[in-house]
Amino acid sequence: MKNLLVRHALAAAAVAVLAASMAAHGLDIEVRRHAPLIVLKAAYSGSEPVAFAAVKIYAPGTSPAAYQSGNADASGRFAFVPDREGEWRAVVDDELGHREERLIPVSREFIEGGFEPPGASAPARLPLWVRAAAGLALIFGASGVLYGIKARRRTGQ
Amino acid sequence: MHIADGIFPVPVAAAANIAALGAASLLGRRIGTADIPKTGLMASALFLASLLHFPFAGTSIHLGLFGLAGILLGRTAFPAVFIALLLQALLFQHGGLLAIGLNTLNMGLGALAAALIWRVPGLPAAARAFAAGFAGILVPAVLMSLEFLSAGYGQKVLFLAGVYSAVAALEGALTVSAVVFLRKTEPALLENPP
Repeated sequence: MKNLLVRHALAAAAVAVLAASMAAHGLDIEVRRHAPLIVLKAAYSGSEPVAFAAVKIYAPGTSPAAYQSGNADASGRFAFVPDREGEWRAVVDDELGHREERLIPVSREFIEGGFEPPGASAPARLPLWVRAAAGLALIFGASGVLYGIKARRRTGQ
Repeated sequence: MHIADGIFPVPVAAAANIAALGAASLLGRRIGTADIPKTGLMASALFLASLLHFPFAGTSIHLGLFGLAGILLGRTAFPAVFIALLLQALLFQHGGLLAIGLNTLNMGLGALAAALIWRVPGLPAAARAFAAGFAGILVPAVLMSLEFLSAGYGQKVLFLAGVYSAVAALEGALTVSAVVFLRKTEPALLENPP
């Protein structure tokens, strides 16, 4: 049993290292500001562009109608020109189940002169390997706790 | 393979969440103490499998390992799939918390289909393993395509099922190699899953 667990742990570690060295599969939107344009670049996590993804841009406010809609180019890029300050919303959809929304704060300064407010860029994410390791730690930890509880119940009986 | 948040209406997603949580809870009670390490390890493999992705036919596809999960865990593969998807949604932003029920039902049913196929008597183990691995991916892909069609979503859903047929063949081959390896090294793992 001990050998089995050691072998399984080694196999899991090998898979974790392999997986963490590869890119994740989600859809990311990178936001670049080139006044008066905002350029979105959609990619499957890593670097594979989401070519010709359907994109909808919603202006600040509650209007359900899109301010602009269309498709990204072959490199996954899409540009629009915001005409007012506030929180814009971009929705990128590859129509194959991958979909991502991004809120884009736009200041009056950007509309008028291209100033990019501090913190307007996408929030930083933890490195992929850290998130993968955190997930494994949670699963192994929860399994250990559950095993302990069930084993204690059995011993108690 | 993951349905993202915002594609299906909230009531549909919420109903699927309740159904998936209930099924995961019920089937989770069947996990015996001795099976917990195996279940945890398989949940880890499922959690990491979606990182192994590759571009194919203009989209991004990834492995699932639902067939292998069904073979090793039987019915208790369903809660393992739920845990893996929950962590994928939280840590990798694959799918989403609102769509986790739909994703769990799709992929969990794939694992359950694989578990059933693995138990079919009278067939060679390699044939059962291939069919289980194949169905483990194809069942979720077909279910997802039907759901998209019913929602009037997108124009490429049938293409999606076709793409995942190729992935299913790859998964079938991977499942056969895993089963052959386990039969040589730890055959007890393949016997009498819950």
